[in-house]
Amino acid sequence: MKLFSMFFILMIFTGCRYQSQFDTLKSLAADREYLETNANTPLDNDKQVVIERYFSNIKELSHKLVNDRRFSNNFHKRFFRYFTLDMCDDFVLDVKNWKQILNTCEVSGFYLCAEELKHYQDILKLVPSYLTKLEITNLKKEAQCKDKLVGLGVFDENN
Amino acid sequence: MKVILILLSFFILSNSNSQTLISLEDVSNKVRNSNFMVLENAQRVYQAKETINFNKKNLLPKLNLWNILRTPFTWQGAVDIVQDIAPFLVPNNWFKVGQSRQFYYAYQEQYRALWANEVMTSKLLYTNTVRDIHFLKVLKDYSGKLNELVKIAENRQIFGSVQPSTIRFLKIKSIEINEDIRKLSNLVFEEKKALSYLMGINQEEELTLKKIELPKVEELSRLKFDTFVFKALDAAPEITQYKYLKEALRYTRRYVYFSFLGGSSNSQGIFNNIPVQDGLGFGAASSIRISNSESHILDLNKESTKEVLKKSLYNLVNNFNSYIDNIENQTQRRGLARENYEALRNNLAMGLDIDPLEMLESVQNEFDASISLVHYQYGVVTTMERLKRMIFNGDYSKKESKLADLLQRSE
Repeated sequence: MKLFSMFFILMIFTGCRYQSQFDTLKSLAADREYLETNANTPLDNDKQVVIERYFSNIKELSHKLVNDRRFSNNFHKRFFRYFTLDMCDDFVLDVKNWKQILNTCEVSGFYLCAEELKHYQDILKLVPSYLTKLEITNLKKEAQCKDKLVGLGVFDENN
Repeated sequence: MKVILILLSFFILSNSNSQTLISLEDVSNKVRNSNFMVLENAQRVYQAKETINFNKKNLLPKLNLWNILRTPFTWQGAVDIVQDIAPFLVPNNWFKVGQSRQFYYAYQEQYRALWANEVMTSKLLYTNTVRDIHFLKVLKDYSGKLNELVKIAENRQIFGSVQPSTIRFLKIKSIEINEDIRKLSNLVFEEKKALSYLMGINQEEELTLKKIELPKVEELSRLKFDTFVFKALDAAPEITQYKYLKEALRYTRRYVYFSFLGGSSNSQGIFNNIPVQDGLGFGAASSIRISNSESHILDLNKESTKEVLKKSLYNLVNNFNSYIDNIENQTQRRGLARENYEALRNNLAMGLDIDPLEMLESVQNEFDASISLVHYQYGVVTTMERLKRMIFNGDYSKKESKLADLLQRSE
């Protein structure tokens, strides 16, 4: 019984350490879908909430990857276990939709959305330098994903 | 003699006021770097940051010779001076570090609010001063037209077509306008001095303000309150500070629970009114209840701040929309008044007999319409500035720390 409890506690402390980040990553898909559907619609409260959530999550995850060595090691360890080719398509908003959303955020000269939205490209551009070559190669394997990331300036078109 | 002259001219030149040319865009930078209140509060934030370091270093052993000398060299004696030789074993010392960090974040938010308020006050004062300079110009123009009218009436008096009482009346009007010009010039002078103070510029220097580019009100569209309220509440440091203060309050509760392991010597910042026993005793429950009540007060303050922000925002959006709805009226009024004045003036030039009082009324109408339109345009500028402050746009935008860190790395 003791052993079982210890094992259980160990599982909690090791397996679920980055559960919240994993959940955040998964939540990106639904928000991206909403944003793509409503990219051109005029700004309202619901859209503002989703914009704030999606782009803040992107910032939080990038910040964690860049600043938290433990998280980054864990990420590299589990990258190939969890990576699927449609992931990029699920989580990343393309440049065209991003620009359209950015335009709807400007009302009579006032910017009414989250600050992270403005710097979406800059944040994403930072990520590749914290990925391994193998991980980058994997991301580029899928043509659609590659196009999306090249469009956003994350990867160079030639490389 | 030559030397004396050179010295004299040097003395005169060195004492003469130097001129400083500033634009609306310079104001925020000047306030950030030289405003006295902003600088003072920046020091408070620095102190809060340094307090974190102090509390961190307080976890390391410290030397108090008298404590050591009066303690017998036994294990029991070592326990007596644990606060000195191993302060890191006292949980409350760790809580102190956490709490001071939360206070630092709260101070940062308060600083951000104060800084934004000072920037806004300065920018509004700048706008009002430029507006008053504009008014002064319109008033001088009005005075010129009135003087012209007095001359025409005096010429007419020779032929007997104008009564002396009419001339006297026109002259009284002209004197009144000269008095208004004097008063307005003084107001502009005072405004410039106040602006110098806000921007931390020496009072000896004379400010020259660049013109403001007025927005094309006709091209602006109406605003919706709903879209602004989200951004305003999301960006408000006045609200964010409560998040950190509540976090800091949690540490006070932990002090109470862990007071049986020894207390921390320094204060709990703004929560000093919560009594903490020196050890876990029967007063602990009351301490917790007081801290819960303090938490309730913070919630109430947060809600009240939200409502105050919303109230201001409602008024600003309403004002902005009313400006947009009525700009056409104002422009039309100005156009008609000018047209009327020009028509009478042309008639006068052609030698037609026009009553000077009718002409005066026309000049007065044109002046009122001009002033009203200028007031309107600057009103839009100040409303937009207030809105920008509410949603932290433009000069007020200050990036959140994690975002700022990422952007710094990407440069």
